[in-house]
Formats: sequence, structure tokens, C-alpha cells
Amino acid sequence: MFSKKHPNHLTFDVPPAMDAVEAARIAFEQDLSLSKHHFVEGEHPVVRIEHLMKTFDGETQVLRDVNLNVWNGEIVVVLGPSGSGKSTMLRCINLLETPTAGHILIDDDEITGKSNKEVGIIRRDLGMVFQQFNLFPHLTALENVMIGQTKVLKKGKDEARAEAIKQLEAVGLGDRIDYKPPQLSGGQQQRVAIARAVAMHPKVLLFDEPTSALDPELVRDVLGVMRELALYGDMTMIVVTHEMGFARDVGDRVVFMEGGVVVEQGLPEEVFDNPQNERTKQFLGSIN
Amino acid sequence: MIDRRIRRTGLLMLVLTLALGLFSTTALAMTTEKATARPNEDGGKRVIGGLTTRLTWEGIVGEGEEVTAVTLQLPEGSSFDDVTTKVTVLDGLDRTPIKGEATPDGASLQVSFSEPAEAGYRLRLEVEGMSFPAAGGDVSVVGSYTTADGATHDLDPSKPIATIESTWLQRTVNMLDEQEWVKAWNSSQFLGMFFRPQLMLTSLFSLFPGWIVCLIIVIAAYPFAILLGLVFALMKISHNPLMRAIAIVYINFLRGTPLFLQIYIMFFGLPMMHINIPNNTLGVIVMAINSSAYLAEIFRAGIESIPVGQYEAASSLGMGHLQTMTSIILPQTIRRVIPTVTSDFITAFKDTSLLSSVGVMELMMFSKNLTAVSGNMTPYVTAAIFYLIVTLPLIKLVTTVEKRMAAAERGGGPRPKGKAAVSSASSGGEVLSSEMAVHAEALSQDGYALVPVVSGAQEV
Repeated sequence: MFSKKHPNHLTFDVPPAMDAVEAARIAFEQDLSLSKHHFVEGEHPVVRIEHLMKTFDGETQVLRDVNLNVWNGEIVVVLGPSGSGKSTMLRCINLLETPTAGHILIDDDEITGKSNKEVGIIRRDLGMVFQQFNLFPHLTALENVMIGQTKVLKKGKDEARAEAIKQLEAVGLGDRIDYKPPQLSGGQQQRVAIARAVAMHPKVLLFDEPTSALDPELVRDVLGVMRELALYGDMTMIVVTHEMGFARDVGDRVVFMEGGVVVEQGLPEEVFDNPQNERTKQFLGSIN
Repeated sequence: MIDRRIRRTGLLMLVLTLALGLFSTTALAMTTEKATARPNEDGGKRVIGGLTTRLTWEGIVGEGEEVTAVTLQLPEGSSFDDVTTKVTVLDGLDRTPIKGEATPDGASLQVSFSEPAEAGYRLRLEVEGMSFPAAGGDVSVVGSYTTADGATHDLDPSKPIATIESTWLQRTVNMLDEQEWVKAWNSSQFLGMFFRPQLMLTSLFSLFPGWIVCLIIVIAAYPFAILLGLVFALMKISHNPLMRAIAIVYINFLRGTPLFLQIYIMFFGLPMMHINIPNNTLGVIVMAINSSAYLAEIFRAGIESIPVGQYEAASSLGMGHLQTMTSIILPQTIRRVIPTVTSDFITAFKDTSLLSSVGVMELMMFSKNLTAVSGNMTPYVTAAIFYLIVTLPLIKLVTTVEKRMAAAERGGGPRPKGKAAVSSASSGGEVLSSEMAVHAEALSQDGYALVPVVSGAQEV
């Protein structure tokens, strides 16, 4: 079903993934001034994206050359106009989209060009929260949070249940564990979806416009949960969003994408208050 | 020569006849020659107790006797009430002018003659409308006769007449036959032709086995149909072009040709290849194969109606293809297709009637036979009732399930007990039904000018 062979028709020369230590050293020096992350000498980025390229149907080039490093515990907020490729980049990280070219490394392990079975194992480490929640409507909130633990991590029922209840309580839904998704509000559904992702204890949590499908008054609840997760959850998060307030308050680093490349990145206050790139200025100007 | 031989043979026969005649007429008391009853079993040859029939009794008056009256006595439970008795007194083969008058009295019938019947006369009583005991059993006609001198002698018991016990149904039909309202009802051409009470009652019982055969065929066929349907649905959405081609040919052939034709091909084609399968089993096979094609399309549509997001969510948890299918996609598909599958089951159940054309003894066959015998439409109407007994509740079920599913999609399903319910005022605006979500997803995808709606899961 998801069988897609890694395409070998590269349209431009891409250097192979660098030696991990060397790459980490370069990234360390480069990102040090761009992020509030507490860098530790000698650490490696948990996600390393090099020259990522994605073409749909062989013609529509959505990602041209994306380079990004994400560090353990860092909160990276990705901004950009519609069509800039930010969601596609996120979906490439957990291989919902197969990169056309380039490299993605999780903890220094290449994840592109893997077999279906290996992809399944890689995805366990990458939690995803979708714009449309994508809860399983035939399962209760509790079962939604349990199913990944029991079916994929092969945890026992009791252990999975305890973990699920813990995570649902953490997102403020301890009293809704037996509800099915259609009986929950959008905000509640998205919080269940967050609990479902967190319960797998992934290395990285990916948020794909988690509040875009919500009514304005429900956005706050979801952002509150995400904020808590970011500040106290010891999580590595890559958040694609249009919520500027969240980016500014919670983000360790803001990445601005445009036309399939990262055009600017840096500390939130610097990017927001003093954008260097012309497109960034334009974008921030248009939404403020 | 020839002449003499014929004469001698004739003489011999005359002597023999005289001797026999002498023997039979020299009996010293009246003999019971015959006691029979007309079969009153519907389409059968047996005599049923409790139902009206005709008793024929014959006796021959003994030597030196003149009989003035005969009384026939039957066991308790027999009835001579309301009988019509035909009395014939024969002298040899000739009818005598002696008349008889019958007086029924419960289980006995007294016949007195206008003149005494002489020795050797044959007395024949034909009693129309009498009945034997409802319990059945072997019944001997006993009784007595009165001679001209006023003496009464016992009749020797007749050979027993075998009768069988009448059923509740037979007695009820018998009772209905005599009801005034039934006669009035049946005098209406329409009611009498389509809703004849007696026939409806008997049809209910005689069609029942056919109804059971229909049910067994469709219930036996359906699990196989579901299994086959699922296999072909998965083949049709598979990436393997050969698998897909096989599924498409199979489904299109079966959906594109009449079931009637498929039945003929199987029932007449297989025996020609010397493959002989019992009718009912072959009926199950044909129904299973036919339904599987429709179910395959229902399942395929059901699987494809599951939003791509469900595959993505399952994948992002690390589930493999098989796990995603069994834990996430199929459980949702099953819920979605229950109404459509039930509708198909109703169709399949009704379509078993086509098997009557090839001699499967199902409901339609039974009603056809009964109508042919009775010349009345009531068995067909009864068959309709039998079909409706199954289909009406299922039709109701489909409607109910559809309504409930629509309500659940809107978020109006039953809340878990003992938990605070989401107030409808606040949930009304927030809840996104799955269709709305799909719609919204499509819209948001449109919003990305450069991102065409392509994702891994859409290859499903």
C-alpha cells in the first residue's frame, strides 16, 4: 500500500550524508546562535535533513533543497505561506511522503530508501499530530491511545491502559476516556490525538497545523496542551503552524519556509521583530 | 371334436359355479362380505379418522333367514351423524325393489328394509359423510341383524379397516369447511382465489419446509459470499495487475449477467462435465458465488470510503499494512457496510426463488406445486407472507442502523454511562463529522497551490 521505491533519478547532484561527527559539529556551530536550545558540547542533532527534495508526479517540485537540524528537546516552529512545502517537509520526516532526493537522519541513522518493514520501525520514533486529528472513530478515546502501544509496541493491556489514562489526564480529558471521537469536540479530539502520539514516547513529535481545523475558541485548549508539553514534557517538537503567538512564546527556534526552501531561521524574537529576508518580512507583514 | 370339447368345458364350469354358489348360499347366518372406506387423505390413499368419508358395507343373507333390519356398530368416537345412506339390495347381480331406511344414532346406524331380504340376497350400504374415531387404528364393523321372526343375531366382525389418526390441521380445515363465514368469504371471487382460509392454513404448514430450505441455502451461502467478497475486494484494490484483472473479470461477469443464467449454467453445465453435486448444495454454491461479486463491490467501496487520514494515522503509529487493515480499516469498513450488506442479503434471500426453476425444493417450488394442485392463488400469497417474515424485519433493521449511523456521525450517539455529557449547545458547532472532515481536508489541500492532492495512502 505504501510501497514506493526510493527514486534514483536525481535531478541535481546531492552530496552524500556527511560523517555524523563532522555534520554535528557544523550544525552545532551554525545553530548555536539561532536557537534557545541548551546546546551541550558534542551532542548530535536528533533530526538531520540534508538537501531534501520532493517532486509530485515528476513535475510539481514542492521541496527544492531543505536543510534543517533539530536538536534533542528543541521546539522548532515552522512558518510559511501556503504551498511553501512546510507540511510536505514534515510528512517526509516520518515518510508519509517519500523524499525524491536528499537525506533524513534520525539519531544519525538514514531513514530514506528503506523497506516497508523498516519504515514501520522508524515511524515508531516519530509521533505525528494531524490537522484533521485522524482519530480512529470506531475506538474510544482510551482505545485510540492504547492501540499503538498494544499493536506496535506490544505492551500489555494493563500497562498500555495505565499509560493511556495518564496521557489523557495530562491533556485534560480524564473524564472522557470512554467517549468515541464523534462525541468529542474538535479541540478534545485533537487533544486525544496528542495523547495518542505522546503515549508512544517518540523521539520527535511532529505537529502538522494542529489547530487549523479548529474553531477559534477551541484553539487555545490545544495550544495550552502543546505549550505544557513543550515546557515540561522534555519533548522534541517540530510544529508547522500559523499560530504566531505560540511560535513566539514557546518556540526555541522559528524556521521560515518559502518556495520549498528554508529562507530564514533564528530565535523567535529576532525573526518576528527583525526579519532579514524580504519574503519573511512580507509574510509577517501580511498576517499582522 | 372342437364342438364337444367346448361343451365339456362349459359343463365343467357350470358345475363349478353351482358348487361355489351352493357353498356361499348355504351359510347358516348372514356373512359380512365387505367393509371398506374411501381414502380421505389429501393426495394420499389412507383413511384418516375424524374426517368425513364413505363407508361401504356388504353382507349376504344366510340360508333360511329373512332379514328385516341391519345395525352397523362402530367403535366409540365414530360418527354417523348427518350421513346420507344409499341402500341397495341385490339378488345375484340384479337389483331388487327392496328399499332401506337408515337411522343414524351416534356410532351406530340402523337400516330397516321395506320387505325382508331373502337368503342369498346381497345387502349393500354406502354411508356417505360418516367418520371414524379421530385417534385412528384398525376398525372392524360389527353390529347385528334382525330376522323376520323378530330374533336379533350378531354380525360377524368385518375385516378391519386401517385408519390413521387425524392431525389438528386436518380437523381444523374440516371445521373451517363447515363455517358459514368461510363459505361467505370464499364466495367472493377475489378473496376465495387469493385468500382462501383453508388453503392458507394448509399452505402455511406445507410451505414451511420450503421456507426453511430457502433460509438454509441463503444462510449457508452468505458466510462464503462474505469471505469470497472480501478476497475479491482486496484483490481489486491490490497493486498486482493480475490480481486486479482477475477480480475485475470475476465481479463484472457475475454482476453483468442474470442470476437466472448463472443458475442454468451451473445446474446444467456441471452434470454435463460429469460433476454431480446435490441440488441444495449447488444452490448454496451458486448463491454464494453470485452474492460474493456484489459484496466485493460493497466492501471495495467501503474500504475506499475510509479517509486517507486513517491510513496515515495508523502508519504514523508504526503499524504495518496488515495491522492497519485488520485493526483500523476493516473494523470501520464493516460498520459502514452493514446496511448495504443487509440489503444485499435481502436480495439474495429473495433470489433463492430462482432456484425453483432447476428443481430445488424451496419455497417457490412448494407454492407452485400447491397452486397447480389446488388451482388457487392462495399458496402464492402464503409464500409472499413467508418471504416478508424475513425481509420486513431486515428492511426495518437497515433503516434503523442507517439512522443510528447518521446520528453517530453527527456526534449524537449514546454517551457512556456515568460520565458528563458534552452539552449539545457547545458540541453542535465544534463536532466535525467524518464527511465534513474529508471535505475540509480536500478544501485545505486545494489551498496549497503547489501541493497536488497526492499522498502515499491514496494509492490504496
